[in-house]
Amino acid sequence: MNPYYRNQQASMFADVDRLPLAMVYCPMQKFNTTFELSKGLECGTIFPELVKPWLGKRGASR
Amino acid sequence: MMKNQLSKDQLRRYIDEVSFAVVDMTLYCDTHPDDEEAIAFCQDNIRMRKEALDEYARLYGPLTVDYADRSSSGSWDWVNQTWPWEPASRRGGRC
Repeated sequence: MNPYYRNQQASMFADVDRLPLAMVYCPMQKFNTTFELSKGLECGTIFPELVKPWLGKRGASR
Repeated sequence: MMKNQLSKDQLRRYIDEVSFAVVDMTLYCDTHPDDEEAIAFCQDNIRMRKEALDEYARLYGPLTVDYADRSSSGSWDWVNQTWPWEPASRRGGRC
């Protein structure tokens, strides 16, 4: 995992233990740049910030 | 936008691409119904998709029944189109 992503994850989850259990949240997406049409179809999303390739494996994260 | 410099398969690929962008923008606009910039972008893509479907129908035959009135051949081209699950080779394209 690259250091930038590790830092981003660390800060993202910094306060997660203070949140109520069993509650789900979802930040609102903001309209920003979009991929070229061909790239969007290949990636499964036209939004670069939503490209989330699966990096784990069955039953465990990598 | 005229796409008639594209081959049949290229135009079909472009329709797939722009159709996917429309689907994805629809999802975004469903949750952001007042986002004017996003709505304008969605509408642009809807227009581009319609133009491409229209052009494909004129050149090769209709992909959806909404464009089955575009043929200039005088016959009912709709029934002669390849089915979506038929391989590209039978459409006379690459693969």
